[in-house]
Amino acid sequence: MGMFKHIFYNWTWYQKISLTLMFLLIVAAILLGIWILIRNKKYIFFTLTSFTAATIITTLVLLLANIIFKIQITYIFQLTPIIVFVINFIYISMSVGFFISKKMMKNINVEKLQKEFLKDSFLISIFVTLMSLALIFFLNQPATTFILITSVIIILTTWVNYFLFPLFFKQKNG
Amino acid sequence: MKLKIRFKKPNWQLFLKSFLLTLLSAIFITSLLVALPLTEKISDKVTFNLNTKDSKYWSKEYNLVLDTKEKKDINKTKEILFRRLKRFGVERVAIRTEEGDEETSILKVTVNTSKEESLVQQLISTRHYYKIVTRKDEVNFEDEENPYAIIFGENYNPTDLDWDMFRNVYIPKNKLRTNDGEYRYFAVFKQKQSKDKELRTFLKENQGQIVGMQIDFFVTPFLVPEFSEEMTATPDITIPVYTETEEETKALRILYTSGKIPVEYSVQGEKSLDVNMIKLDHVKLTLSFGIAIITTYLYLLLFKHRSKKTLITSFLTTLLTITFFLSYLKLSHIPVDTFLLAVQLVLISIFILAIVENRDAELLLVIGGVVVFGIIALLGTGFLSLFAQAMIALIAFSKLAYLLTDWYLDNIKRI
Repeated sequence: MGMFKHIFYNWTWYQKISLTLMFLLIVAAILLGIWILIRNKKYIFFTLTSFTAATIITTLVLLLANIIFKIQITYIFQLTPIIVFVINFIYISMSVGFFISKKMMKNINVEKLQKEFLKDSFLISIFVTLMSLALIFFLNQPATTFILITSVIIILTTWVNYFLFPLFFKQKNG
Repeated sequence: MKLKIRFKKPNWQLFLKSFLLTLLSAIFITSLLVALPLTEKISDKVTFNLNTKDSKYWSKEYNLVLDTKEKKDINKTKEILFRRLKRFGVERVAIRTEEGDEETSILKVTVNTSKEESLVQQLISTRHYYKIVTRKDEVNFEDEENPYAIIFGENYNPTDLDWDMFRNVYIPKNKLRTNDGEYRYFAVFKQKQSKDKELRTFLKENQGQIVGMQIDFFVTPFLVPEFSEEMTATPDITIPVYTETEEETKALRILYTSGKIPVEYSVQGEKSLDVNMIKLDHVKLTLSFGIAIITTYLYLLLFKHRSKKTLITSFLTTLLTITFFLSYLKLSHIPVDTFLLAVQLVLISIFILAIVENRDAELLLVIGGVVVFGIIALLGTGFLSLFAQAMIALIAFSKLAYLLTDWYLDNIKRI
């Protein structure tokens, strides 16, 4: 909770407003890009929910790391939500690419799309895990903690996206 | 017997392709050699060491005592100081409010930065309140024994024409020629429309005389231009600015345009602190990243997570992007934060894999990526802005690297 107290009491209004606006504009820009390319309302709602989930997961993991593991959330963790948002954007863009390539604008093939989400989830999880593991052996303490926590958040967000997917895209029966 | 020599028509296309492939191979190898750590020791002719900011960082805490207890004034002062430091590019700023005595409040400003200390101090300690002043009749400004009389505010009479008169102060990027032939920066004061009449009256009354612009305690004298009633536009007030370097001028520009601090304050003490920035050895970083990327791609290749062509293209594109970027940083001596560099390299690797894997998503990824990092560069504070700017450069390099790698791999097979 010290994290929130620090933001509330010590950050200037300029900082609070500019960073809030920054995240809102990032999400708005991504939603606009997706709408321009595929014009699918379900996809927009899915993307919005995905970014909301990413925000909640990032906040919860940082809070838990601070309260339970007594990890000091220093200035460098300002990068964590940005990295999570960017990787979330990359993940969703990969599925948008698949959506376009299989010409699903009129008829969504939910099974194929879900399979693609699964493949991409595995790819991102493996890539992030291997890169993090290889890096942490060579880096010093504050950097190691930052990479570990950020990697955990990225992997969690990726898999939450995969499990959110069926809530928005249901397979038609018959 | 007649000997006939037939010359086959040369295949210029093949020749050109071979030449380009050879040239590209040479560029790839050269940029790889430049990018690798410690290779700068090979050549004496060109210096290309990675210019890290790590040793340039310093950290201080400044205690500012404000002559007010009003929360509104304290918050406004805090906002303006933060904005000044952010615009100057100070990497980390923290401002805390504390209770002072009965009539004062305390602001503790902590900075961690690689910027010039004197300029950062100027941005924090200067209120930069300016007003037009007129010379006192009883003061002898020509006295050779007191040459500094001209710059002290106590030798001038105040007027009502202060910073509330002016909507903007503009310092042109280029130096202008002065009367004595030197080149100097100038500050041009643009008055508000509602105050134009008041300023015009003052200038008419004092035309041809030397008055001054008092900024905090010191005065910069200037000659009021002569002008006639027929002139519709009020002449701008222009004063010389005594800065030499672009950084000093940038700091002064920020002081003029970052807002008006509503209260008097003073710096009562400053304390040096241990630098609280994550530093990495760039040799270890390059080694660890190299091992990380090779291990990851080997795993993906062995366990067939993607096709061989995709993985080879992605790996070579990543390698090329990073070598181009590092070579560019080394040759241009742009200072970098090693920790941010590590994060940027990992992020661009994932980005490149996504682009190579999903050609249909390339437009969304590249344009979306530039827009997202553009938003962060504009609105992000401190080091977030620097991080985003470098990511935009990396996305541009990755696009170029992908085009080259794709062409290279297609054509090398045919040769």
